[in-house]
Amino acid sequence: MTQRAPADACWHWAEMVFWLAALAAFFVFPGYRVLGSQVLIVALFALSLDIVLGFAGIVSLGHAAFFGVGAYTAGLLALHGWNEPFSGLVAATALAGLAGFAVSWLVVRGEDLARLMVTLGVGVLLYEAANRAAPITGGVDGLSGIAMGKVFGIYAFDLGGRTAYLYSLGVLFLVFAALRRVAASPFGLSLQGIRENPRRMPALGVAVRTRLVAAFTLGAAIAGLAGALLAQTTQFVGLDTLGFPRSAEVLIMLVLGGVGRLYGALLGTAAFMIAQDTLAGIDPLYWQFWLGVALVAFVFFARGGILGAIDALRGTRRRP
Amino acid sequence: MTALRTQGIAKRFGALAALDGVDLQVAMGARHALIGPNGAGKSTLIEVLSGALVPSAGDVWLHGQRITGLPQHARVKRGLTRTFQITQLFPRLTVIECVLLALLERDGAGWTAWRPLAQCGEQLAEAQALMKRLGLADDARRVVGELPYGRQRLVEIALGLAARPRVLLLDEPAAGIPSGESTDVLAVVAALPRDVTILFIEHDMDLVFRFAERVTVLVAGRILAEGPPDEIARDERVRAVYLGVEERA
Repeated sequence: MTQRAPADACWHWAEMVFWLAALAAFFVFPGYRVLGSQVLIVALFALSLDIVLGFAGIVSLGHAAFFGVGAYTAGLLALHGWNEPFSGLVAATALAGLAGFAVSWLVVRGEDLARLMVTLGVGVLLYEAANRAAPITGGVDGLSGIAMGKVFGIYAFDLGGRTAYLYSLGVLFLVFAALRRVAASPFGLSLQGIRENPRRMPALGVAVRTRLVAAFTLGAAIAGLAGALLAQTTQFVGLDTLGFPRSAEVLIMLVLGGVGRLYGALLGTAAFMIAQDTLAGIDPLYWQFWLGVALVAFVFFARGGILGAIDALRGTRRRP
Repeated sequence: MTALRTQGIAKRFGALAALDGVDLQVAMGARHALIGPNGAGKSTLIEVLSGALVPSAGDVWLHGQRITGLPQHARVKRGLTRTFQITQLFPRLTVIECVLLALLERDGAGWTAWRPLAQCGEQLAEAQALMKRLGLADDARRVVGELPYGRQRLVEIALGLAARPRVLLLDEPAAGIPSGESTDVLAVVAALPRDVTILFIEHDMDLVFRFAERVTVLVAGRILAEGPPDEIARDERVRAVYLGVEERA
């Protein structure tokens, strides 16, 4: 029978190895720093969805809306002369959080299907709004010509992805460490309670809606942070940051890694994007076909994603 | 003084009147049983009292304050807690996590986001003590969904007790617990301090007559009889309507 100790704040050695490996990749694969920084950014985005879906149990098909709000905020700020990176991140996070807060009241009212429709609808709405507001957003051409300032006033963003990788890794690590702590807190436990049985929670004295609003807002804010990172490191913002494919893809990555466990978001994103890059190299025409085959096979043979497969191999189920 | 009082409670589901004018009084500190044949409206009444269902008509008072429109979670904060007939647990959480969850919410710590559970020493200690009281100590780290149903019932009771209620509504607390242990469970409940008022639904007449000091008989959404257990046992109408049904079943 499965046993598990209550979540605690200590870091497991495997976690330290994981983060050191992420840092080591910078030195070992200098040619992949650009891809690497994108993996880190999308991993942060997947992490934000894990708060919403994995912890609070809110299904969303429009999470890219907040990624896009963050990306456009950071991009527009830089384009209009405010190009200090960290303050840009803070502004983008705040605005995406605000957008998430507004949308959350619509989302938490319904059941799963209604939530799918509302999040999908909001995503499509924002995409179309950004498309129409071409004078501000650049429409289909996107925002280009963004000139970012230097990180800490010292490190300029370069074509090799050197600054982008370390900057993204630093932000990802800090946010991860914070979320890890929140996940192991009474608040984190209450979100899991709502996910496991929303009907029981009121009988424990919990106003479920306000708790979900908080979780959704937090997830949206972090999605915005990820979007801002992408805008700053690539110095470009396209409509695709808001698009439905991005919402769907991040959902796939999260499920691939394992839902509700934080590290699943990171592993799933890395596996998906590295497989995508490798397959595109092997078979430039039909790589999407092979990616599909790999995903279907994975769902059949590894329940609970990559982390679920690791647990099955170890014969236990624990959460880091 | 009455702990819980209803006046003219009605609940209609379309054409069906599940409750049809229920005037109930539960005295402070009572061990009060609610019995009646299947479909009498017992569970519906618990849902209305706890705030999970809004009554079609009538009012509910808790310790003299009208709570008819109050949502469920707000009633819990005022000391009114219920357990469920069919366990409502958190399948992928462990027993101690479930109990901790209930204790932390009772203490208003549910918004605490920056302190790890491992540092919530007070609630951890209380969780251990509560699990021990219900014989769940060995299951603390087991995942609830994998426990046998009887054990899950105990977790259900633990969650009810964790709220440290002033009024506790128990919907068939012993259902699904192996008969040898059902007496133990109700004994834990009955051993609660006298300032806790208990209203419970129970089908097992032995348990009712052992633990209840007052019995209300509900039939077809109305109160048929009310009184001490021995009086109810002698009541001809109750025997005809209720006990007769049981014998035939």
